[in-house]
Amino acid sequence: MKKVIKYLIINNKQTRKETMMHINKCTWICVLLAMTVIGFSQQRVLPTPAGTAITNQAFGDYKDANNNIMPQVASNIVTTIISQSAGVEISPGTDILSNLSPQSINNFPLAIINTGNGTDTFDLNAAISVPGAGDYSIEIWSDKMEMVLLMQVIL
Amino acid sequence: MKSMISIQIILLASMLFPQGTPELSLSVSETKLNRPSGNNDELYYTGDTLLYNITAKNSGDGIMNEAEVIDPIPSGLTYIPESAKGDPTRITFSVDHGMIYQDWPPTYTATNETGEKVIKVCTPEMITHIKWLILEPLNPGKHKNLTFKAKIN
Repeated sequence: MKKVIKYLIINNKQTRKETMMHINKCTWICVLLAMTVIGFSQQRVLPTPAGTAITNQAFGDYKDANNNIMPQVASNIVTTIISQSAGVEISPGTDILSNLSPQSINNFPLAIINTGNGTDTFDLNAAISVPGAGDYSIEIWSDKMEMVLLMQVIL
Repeated sequence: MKSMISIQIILLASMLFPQGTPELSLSVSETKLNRPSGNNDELYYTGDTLLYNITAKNSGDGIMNEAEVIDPIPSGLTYIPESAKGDPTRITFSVDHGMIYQDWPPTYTATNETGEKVIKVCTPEMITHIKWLILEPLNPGKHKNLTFKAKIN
C-alpha cells in the first residue's frame, strides 16, 4: 500500500512528477491518506539563505582625560557563513476522506512548502489505508505554490 | 623672569600628573553556544545561538573617559532579549539604525485602528543597534568585556 513519489521542489515550487501510484482493490468510503517526508524538520519563516555571510563589527567613541573627543575606532570583522539546512512542511499531513462514490474523482489539496534555507529535493511517501477492496489510482499534480492530490476511485 | 617660572611650574606639573593619550582598541569574537559537546561541527545553521564578545581595551597611556561601544546587529540575526551584558555599563538599544537609543525594552509609537497614537514595545527582531556606555574611566592597559547573544534567523 505504499509507493514513493518523488518531486523536485525548488524555492517552494513543485515542478516534476515522476511516478503515479496505482493500487488495486477498493470499494469504499473511507480512505486514510498520510504523507511523510524523509528529512523533515521544523524550520519556519524566512530563514537566512544558505551561503549568507553574516558579518559583525563594533565601533567605539571615547574622550581623553580632558574630555577631548577622540577619533572613532572600529573593531575587527567577524564573519559567519550560514550552512544549508533542510526543512519541509506538508499541510494537511493526514486526513480522512469519506463518502467517496465509485468512479468519482476527488481532489485532495495538499500544500508542500520548502521551509529550509536553500534549494532542495525531497522524497515523498504516500501511505494509503483502505478498509475494503477495490481499484483506485492517485495522481499528484503541480499547481505552482501548492500541490493538489487528485485521487480517482475506480470500481 | 616670571615667564621662566611659569614654564618651570608647567613642566613640574606635567611630570607629577602625566595626562597621556588614551587609545581604544576593540576586538570582537564569536562563539556558537549550541555546539554539541564533543562534536567539532564548525557549521552554522538557522536557529543557532551565537555569543558575541567585544573587548574594549585602553591601549594608550592616558585615562579614557566616556567610552561608548556600538554594535549594529548584523542582518540575518535577531537579538536575544536581555542577553546584552557589560559591567559597569549602561546598555541601550536602537530600533532606527542608531538614531535614538532607549533602555530595555525599547518602545515605538504606532497608530491603532481608530487613529489613536499608542506606545508599543519593540520586538527583538526590531533591534538594530546595541550601545554600551562604560560608566567609569578606563585606565591605561585596562579592558572591559561586553557581550550579547543573537539567534540566526
